[in-house]
Amino acid sequence: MNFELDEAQREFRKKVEDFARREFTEEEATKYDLQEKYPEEVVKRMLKEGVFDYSNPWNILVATEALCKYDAGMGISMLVPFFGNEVIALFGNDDQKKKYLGRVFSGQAKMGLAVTEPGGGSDVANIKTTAVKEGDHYVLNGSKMFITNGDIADFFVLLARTSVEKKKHQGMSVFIVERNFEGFKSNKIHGKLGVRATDTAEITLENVKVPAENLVGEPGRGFYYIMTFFDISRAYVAAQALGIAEGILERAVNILQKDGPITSQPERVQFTIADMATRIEAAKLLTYEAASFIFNFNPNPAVTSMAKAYAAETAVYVSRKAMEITGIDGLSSSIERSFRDAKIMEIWEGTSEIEKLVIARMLKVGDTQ
Amino acid sequence: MMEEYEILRNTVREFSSKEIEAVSKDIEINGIPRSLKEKIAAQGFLGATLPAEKGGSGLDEKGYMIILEETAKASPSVSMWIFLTNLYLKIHPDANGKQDILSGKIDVTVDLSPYYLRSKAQPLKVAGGKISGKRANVINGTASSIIVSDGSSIYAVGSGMHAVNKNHLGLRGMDLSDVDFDSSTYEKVGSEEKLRTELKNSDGEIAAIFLGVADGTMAKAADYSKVRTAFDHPLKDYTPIFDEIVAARTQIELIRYYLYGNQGEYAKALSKIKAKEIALLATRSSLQIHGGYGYIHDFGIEKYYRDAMALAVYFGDDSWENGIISEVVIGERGGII
Repeated sequence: MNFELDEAQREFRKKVEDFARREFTEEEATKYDLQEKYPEEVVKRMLKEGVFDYSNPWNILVATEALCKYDAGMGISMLVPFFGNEVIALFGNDDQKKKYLGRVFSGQAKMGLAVTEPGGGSDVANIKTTAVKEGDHYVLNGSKMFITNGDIADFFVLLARTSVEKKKHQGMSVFIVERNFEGFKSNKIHGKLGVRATDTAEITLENVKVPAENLVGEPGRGFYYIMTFFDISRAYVAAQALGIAEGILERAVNILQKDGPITSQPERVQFTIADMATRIEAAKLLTYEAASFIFNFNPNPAVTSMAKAYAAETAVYVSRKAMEITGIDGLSSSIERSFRDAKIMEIWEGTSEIEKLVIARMLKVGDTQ
Repeated sequence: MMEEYEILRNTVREFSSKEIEAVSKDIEINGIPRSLKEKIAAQGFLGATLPAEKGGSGLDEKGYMIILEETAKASPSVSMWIFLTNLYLKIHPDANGKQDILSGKIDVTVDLSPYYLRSKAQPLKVAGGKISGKRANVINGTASSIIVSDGSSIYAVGSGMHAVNKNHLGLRGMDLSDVDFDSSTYEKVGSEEKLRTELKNSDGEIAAIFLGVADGTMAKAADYSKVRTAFDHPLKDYTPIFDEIVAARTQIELIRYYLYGNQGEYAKALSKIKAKEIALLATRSSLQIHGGYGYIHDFGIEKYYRDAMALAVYFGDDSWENGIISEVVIGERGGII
């Protein structure tokens, strides 16, 4: 076992951190947070400078962690133009990959994933959006809620019901839906607690005609495709949470060190710091373990869910403890923004409750009596 | 006597749900409207504990705590605004323009920044008929009059204040400002010790605010758990969610029973520490139960999460409380390393 990044990864991480340090200044991060504005220009610079390397999943993980350490809202904004691409990469055909993913990876287009609906986030099998086949196309009706990139993406990987089956999770299919298809509307959601640089919207589909060639994979297999995607993306969300927690700890310690060495703090504060750091280290091991399983094509959904739930809990825990030990200094620093950002980690890409159900269901145990 | 408190609680609750709840989300964006402040004043919530001859409502501490708790359920900002106005009047019961304060026409505040957790506030300077200096993070710093300390005395300053509003995490119904003082319009109110003592005596009131925050947000979570379904069942039917709602409720009830049933600084110190803890726990739990909707402004839930944390920083220095508890539990000072 080797618990360290290799030299190339370390160099890559340094490059990403240099970019984040330069671009995610306090002034910029505050601006995008306050204005709830997607940092389009910064994303363009990131693509232009080739900071992002999409060919290597480890690099995506490392970049996610490094970017979120500096600012979650801006950091996640850098990563979401590609959000949902794995669905097409794994289950789409060559034409779809060429037509859609090509544009995304060259920075000409942004994509999104549209699964959650107003009536249900956790309960994916209960979605109400329908897709009815008519000749050479499908007609889609319904609405989608809390969709990342909902107001800015050029197209979406979208889950809809194509048939009613005995088992609810059957009869769903995935489509590629372009923003410019007639009947597609998006409505930006304002007033998020945190990650306010990211774009979130509600989407409505009213008799949207989607060409049959935009069906991804086989009809009726959509639920399976989306769950497979979540088994991958949850490792990246764990890395987001991990990055947030690392950033907060670093900033909290730096605030306290202005008063002298940490050892001069009351022991209750030292214990809190030790506890924060320990949890971060544990979250890191889980995250990298889950990623290692996935990237070696041997995913372990229980471990992935453990990583996501535990890293999210750690981010929230660290954000609260940092406030408690830094007091008014923390409250009037960027820790305040991170405190708001951290909470989304326990909600999106499967709430902590859902992760725990997955862990219980997928846990493999031996036969010890 | 008990019955009187119940009547008061019902009255405040009714006012709160009718007048405050209706504008509680707007308060987060545009501040507490003047019209609401005047209605609060008309209810006698300002100068709550001042005797009738001083223009107050003559309530005892318990009655005042009920006001703070019940208003905090709908809007922690409003509760804190009532607290600051009352604190000002307690310290300075014969203030100039008192009628305007009591009728909710003008805002007053007390600079609590020297007492925040890890505060490094520098004393203001009083010399040559002028009070001058800077104070960071004054809650409601745009108020017409601010009570502020120079380290040995406190002064009510009525002009020459320049407040710069800051982005802030919680209690957004009021501004949080860095205030520049350069004023010749001020009056000495008393010793700094007077303010410090008044704050120490406010532990029960602070506990009541925390308790209101916890109860207000958990009541909404309980309601939501009945109407929101997932996997064909309402959320309330799921044991983990049920357990969270019940656990929070159990703690809230026990703290409330203890807080209102006991007097003295020991009971208040315990209540403040415990109420702060449950406020932090309940606000996180409620947001989580609300899921994605809890995370956006429209549902009026995320504000509790922000407010509990902000309050926990403003009232986070427990050294006074720990001192009192230490004397009772250990018999001497402890917990100092």
